[in-house]
Amino acid sequence: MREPERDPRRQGQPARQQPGRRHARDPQSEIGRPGYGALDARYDAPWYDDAPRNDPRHDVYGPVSDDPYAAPDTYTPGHTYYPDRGRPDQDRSGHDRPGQVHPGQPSAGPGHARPQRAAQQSTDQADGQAQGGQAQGGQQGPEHEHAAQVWPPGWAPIVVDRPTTEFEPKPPGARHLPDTEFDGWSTAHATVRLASVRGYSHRYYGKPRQDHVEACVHAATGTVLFAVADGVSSAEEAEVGARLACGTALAVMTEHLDAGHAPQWREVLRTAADQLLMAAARRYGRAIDPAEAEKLFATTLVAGFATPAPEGLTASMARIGDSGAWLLAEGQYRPALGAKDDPAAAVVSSAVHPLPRVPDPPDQTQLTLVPGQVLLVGTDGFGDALGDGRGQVGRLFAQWLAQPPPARGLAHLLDFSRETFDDDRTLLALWPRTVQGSGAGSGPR
Amino acid sequence: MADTSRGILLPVYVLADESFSMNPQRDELNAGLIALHESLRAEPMIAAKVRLAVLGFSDDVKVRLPLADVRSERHLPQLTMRGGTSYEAVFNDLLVRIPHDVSALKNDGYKVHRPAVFFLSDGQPTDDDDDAWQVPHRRLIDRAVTPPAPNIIACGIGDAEPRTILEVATNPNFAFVSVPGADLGRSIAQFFNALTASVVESGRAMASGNPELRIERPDTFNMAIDYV
Repeated sequence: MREPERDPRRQGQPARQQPGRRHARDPQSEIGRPGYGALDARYDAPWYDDAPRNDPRHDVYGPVSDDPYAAPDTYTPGHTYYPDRGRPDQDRSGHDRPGQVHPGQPSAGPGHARPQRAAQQSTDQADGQAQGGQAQGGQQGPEHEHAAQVWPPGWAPIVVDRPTTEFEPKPPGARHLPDTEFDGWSTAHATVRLASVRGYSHRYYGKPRQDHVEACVHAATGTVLFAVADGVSSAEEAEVGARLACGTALAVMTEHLDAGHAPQWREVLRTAADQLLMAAARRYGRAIDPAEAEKLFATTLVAGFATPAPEGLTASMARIGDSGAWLLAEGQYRPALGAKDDPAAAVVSSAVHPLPRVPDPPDQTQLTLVPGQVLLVGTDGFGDALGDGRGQVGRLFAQWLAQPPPARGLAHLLDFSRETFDDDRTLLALWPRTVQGSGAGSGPR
Repeated sequence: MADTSRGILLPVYVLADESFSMNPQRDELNAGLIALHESLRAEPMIAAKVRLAVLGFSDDVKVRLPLADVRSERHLPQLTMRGGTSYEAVFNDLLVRIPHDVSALKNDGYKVHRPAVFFLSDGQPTDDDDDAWQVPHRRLIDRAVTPPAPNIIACGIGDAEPRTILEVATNPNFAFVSVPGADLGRSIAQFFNALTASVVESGRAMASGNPELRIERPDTFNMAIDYV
């Protein structure tokens, strides 16, 4: 990339970084924004573009274009723009480039200065136009040594159809509950990617992510263990229940494998339920009934494990509640744990039967995963958006999960923006890595 | 191929009594509709998941706003007072309207939550036969006859009798009557406050995969069942 020319007059002038903004401005979307006005001056991150709200045509550094990817009115040396690069949301049929870090661009992190409009903005200053105090305060600051770095524009949310409202998230509460978690690794036989992202609604209203996902390996058997949970929002500490259920499921499955036998679902699920009951009893400091524990910690759970097999992998799963699993192959999704909704139903059912309830027998399945297939395990935040998989969200994920993406790429993909879909989203993806003896099969890219 | 996974919507129907007896409260009714509209527009993420219809009923039902996305409606139409109070007309209308609207939303690629009907009346039905409204009402709320049978939240003010309001509502927890002697204008304002809060709360609950209807009791109202 071209570095902006350093004009002594411009040195140290922070500029607006347009590509980092979430979506093109829509004056209507100003309605109902959370009141972050008082914090504006303290945010100097490249993607922070919310000031001042009362005039969508201006930001603190002057007028802005509605199209962050448009060339400036007049070409100015040193003004970085992207004439050849499409908007991240340009192609609504799902042909974006999620998670792509543009080669040759330094991947400046949050807090780095923004050269994007340096030339124009400094000209504004030279013309004596009013500037915010914050903009001028950092002129001598060392952080502006990095003024040449550009935040890769590829991190804006992937827009599917109509985007959800644009806003700055509120903190999730008093505890450290990160907005997004992701992970990715491979064993000799399997490649795992997982991500869990806070829903737009929880971000908007300042609630924690109540979804959770965990995965680990049982080294002696080469078995991949995983658990996905969706804390039921009506439960007071759903996020705690989800974490406890996942952790317990992995621990019990590991114990069973250590003992030399396959995980026994009845015991895995019962123990997860018992842990919720015991945690609730500790919380209340007395004996409790299951309904009280449910009110505190109710959560769905899909627990599973995948063992190497001659064809690829053999995966077994059990579930409680409405989280799901799908087999993705050649762009088609096949429910692996039964669909959540009856497509013919007149209205959506609201019934959820979460932990600590344990049905007997539990809902379980076993399947063989061959190269070219991907096992997806996710919460309804993903499942509802996926539907039957034939819509735009299904095509988007089919396109990007045909091969394992970077782990952060899955998190970015999962955080797509589409109106009405604002629940927490969690997805674990599992690829068989090789066919034993042939060396064929997919590997991470 | 059409995208059949565009989201899950909550259809909300506001049924407002337009009988002559409501005439002194016309301004409060229309102000309430505007406040509802504004409040939903201030919650754009919830507004995206709600479709709102406003129907005025008297001797018949007049569509003041067909089921619509409030984000794209600039103004809610005004209610106009006229005639009597036919509950029969209301339920006959909904019996056709709701399945039709739900089908239309599904054809657009949406799924739907069970529709919510917010019913406000200031008097007893003036139908010729006292029970005339109960036949279409029963068919409307019978999920075997009308698969997208709505939840009906009924609020009575003025001369509305608690027993009637209780019969209209689909759940005793959804039936409210204004406290005796309460100011009618204020009761109407409270009805719309509670309606807005219920829609917003339900929308938030649904965002978290817990699609149950959350109904708030209007401030100057009591449970109808307490009077029966």
